[in-house]
Amino acid sequence: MFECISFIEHIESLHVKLKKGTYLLLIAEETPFLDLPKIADVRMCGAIFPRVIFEGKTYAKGIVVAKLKESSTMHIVEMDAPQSYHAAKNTNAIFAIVDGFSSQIDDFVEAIYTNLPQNTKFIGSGSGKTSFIQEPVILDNEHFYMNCAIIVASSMSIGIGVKHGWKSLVGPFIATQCNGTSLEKINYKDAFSIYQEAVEKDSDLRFETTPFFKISRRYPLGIIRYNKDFVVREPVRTDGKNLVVVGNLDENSVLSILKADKEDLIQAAQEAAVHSRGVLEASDIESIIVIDCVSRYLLLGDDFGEELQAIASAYQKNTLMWGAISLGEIANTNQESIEFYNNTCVVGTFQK
Amino acid sequence: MQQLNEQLLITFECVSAIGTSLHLAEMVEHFLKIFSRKTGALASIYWEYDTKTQNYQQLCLTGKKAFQELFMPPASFMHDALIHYDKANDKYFLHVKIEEDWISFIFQTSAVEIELIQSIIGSFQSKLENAVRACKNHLELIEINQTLERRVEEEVQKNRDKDQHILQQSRLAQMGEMISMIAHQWRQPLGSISAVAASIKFKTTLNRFDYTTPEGIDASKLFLSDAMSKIESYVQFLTHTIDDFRNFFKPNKQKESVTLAQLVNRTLDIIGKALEINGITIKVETRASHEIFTYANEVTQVILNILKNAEDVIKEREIAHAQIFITIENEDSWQIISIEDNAGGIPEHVLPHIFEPYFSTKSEKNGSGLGLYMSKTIIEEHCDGEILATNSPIGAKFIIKLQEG
Repeated sequence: MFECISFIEHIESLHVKLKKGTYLLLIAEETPFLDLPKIADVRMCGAIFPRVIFEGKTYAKGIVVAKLKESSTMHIVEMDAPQSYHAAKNTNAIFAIVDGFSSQIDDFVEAIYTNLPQNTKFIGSGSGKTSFIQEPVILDNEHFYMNCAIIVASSMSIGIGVKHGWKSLVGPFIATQCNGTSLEKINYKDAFSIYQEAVEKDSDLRFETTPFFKISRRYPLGIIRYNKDFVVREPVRTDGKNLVVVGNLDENSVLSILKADKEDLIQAAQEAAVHSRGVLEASDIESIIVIDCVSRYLLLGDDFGEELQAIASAYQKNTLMWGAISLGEIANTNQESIEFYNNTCVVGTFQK
Repeated sequence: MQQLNEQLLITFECVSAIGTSLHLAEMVEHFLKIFSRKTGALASIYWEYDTKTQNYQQLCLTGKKAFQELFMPPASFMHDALIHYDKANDKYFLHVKIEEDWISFIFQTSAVEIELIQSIIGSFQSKLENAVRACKNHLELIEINQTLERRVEEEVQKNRDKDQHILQQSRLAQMGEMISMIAHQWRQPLGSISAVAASIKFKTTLNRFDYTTPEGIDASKLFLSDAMSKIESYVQFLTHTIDDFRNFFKPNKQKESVTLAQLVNRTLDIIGKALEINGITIKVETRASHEIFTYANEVTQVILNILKNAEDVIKEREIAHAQIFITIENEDSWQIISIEDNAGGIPEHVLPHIFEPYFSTKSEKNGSGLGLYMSKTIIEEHCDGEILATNSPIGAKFIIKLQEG
């Protein structure tokens, strides 16, 4: 799907770095730039993330530059018009970067996925800034776009691993009243009151004295599935009654309040990498892409490097690792339905 | 134990997804999405049985559309095991019968797992069937309602057409009556013209004037001048009669202020001569003379129609000393005109029906059965008044009430 992946610190270096071809840029949000330069015979699309990942490190400033192989295509698609995108019949892998603050992520991802060929795998991430305000964060040589997505499609295969490491602290609960991303009632009571009670019982954290997001990133919600891992939904704000989560929540979903140790999270990242690699030989691997949630990054803090090391440990040394700290992760683990995750680590293995 | 708990929780969630809508496709699609998401089905399809074509039709599909080609229609599996392993594609198929319909799922899992998933859906299969039945019954009710609405609309349209037809027939009948009345009005002046012409012809043929003397010539001139004046006067009368009828027939779209006495006079100008010829005496008594603001020509038509009916029944029953009494009076804010004849009245069994359309006691040739129906429509619907029919000791009595103003 990609080749010639590199990292540059300044936007001005693009002129030197980019030769004829099509490029995807992952731009760390603190990178100073006004727009993308126009370079002859070069087409580029980019997305802004809280941080980018390159060779085992994360960067608040800088750009990961990935050249598309001949077999790959790249489109910018409006998220309220997913039907405008048609994947080629020989598409084996899709990498999508969506607007992480769009209210249409679930519908968009499902609509794109529904029309893909049988064995096509889908990996993706939510872009955006840590201001947590929806802004135009998708761009190309011409414009900045809001509520849009970049879709890179390839006839080459990709291995995908998805893991989060969160475990049930307390539950199950029933989401008895939901409205889109707003969880209004849990077990017929105000969602926040149930959440507060569970969290304060487990820790010394108090909602009166601690910012909500600092607590919620440590205690996300998990949607229960049969014989499968939870789908994590992170509460991002509350009005004292409802909890607003990232991504839609179906009414009557069965939920748990989750908790994880640092070791569990790191272990899960490694498992995701092992699953993503599968049985591929080192010589067949072009690079690995890591889509890791910003909440995990903030929660692990200085230890986040260990998570990246754990992922790298599943591959041969010097395997190129790149990616982004994201606002929501997208993947289909097998061939089953696509999911939009929070607080999860997604690892993709690109083959040569 | 944990797996059992998960089964129960998933069952709860799937049961909650049943019956969320009375629209079958919407309800089924929602259920299939939830069930597939929770159990990891790759795709699912709902086959609805069409009783008319006796075939299965795809109602909805969830999951990748690319899996559609792997689904076989129910006819190919309905007599086999409900779990089927497709070796070529390494996929399991789970089929679930919902009344006459079928749901098929594709899984990529183990045989043990697929049996557990089958037991999950089996635990609420009857609920799903009930929900599907409710949706279909609801659809049937909607269709029945729509058919009813369509029928009501058709009937309303038929009634409108019928009203138009009645109106047309009524106009034709009125025209016939008018022509008859014109004939009555013209008979006398035409006879007079004819007499004058005959007299001229007679005198000139018999050389009654001596044109050799100045006196004879003068007498001839005087005679002819007198005869021409008479003819002119009769022709003028005929012209006046035509104008009266033409004005009467002109549809009057605007209301005007007029007294009932004026309307009675206009009517008698038209029908008076015919009544007189038939030996019917008209007695008009005016006790009130307030103006009413109404469609004058239309009210005149109603009065005319009642008088014509009286004339017909008087002639039919050969009433000696036939009389029609017209009384104009007021009561509160109503101006009332009563028209009463001395022809013996309307039979009691007929009285309740006389304002119904196509009801006539006259022979087919003479009556359309629409005159009084149209009269009631004019007075009550156009003029916001009332029209009543009763029997007095001597005959039929029609009372028309109109608001002053």
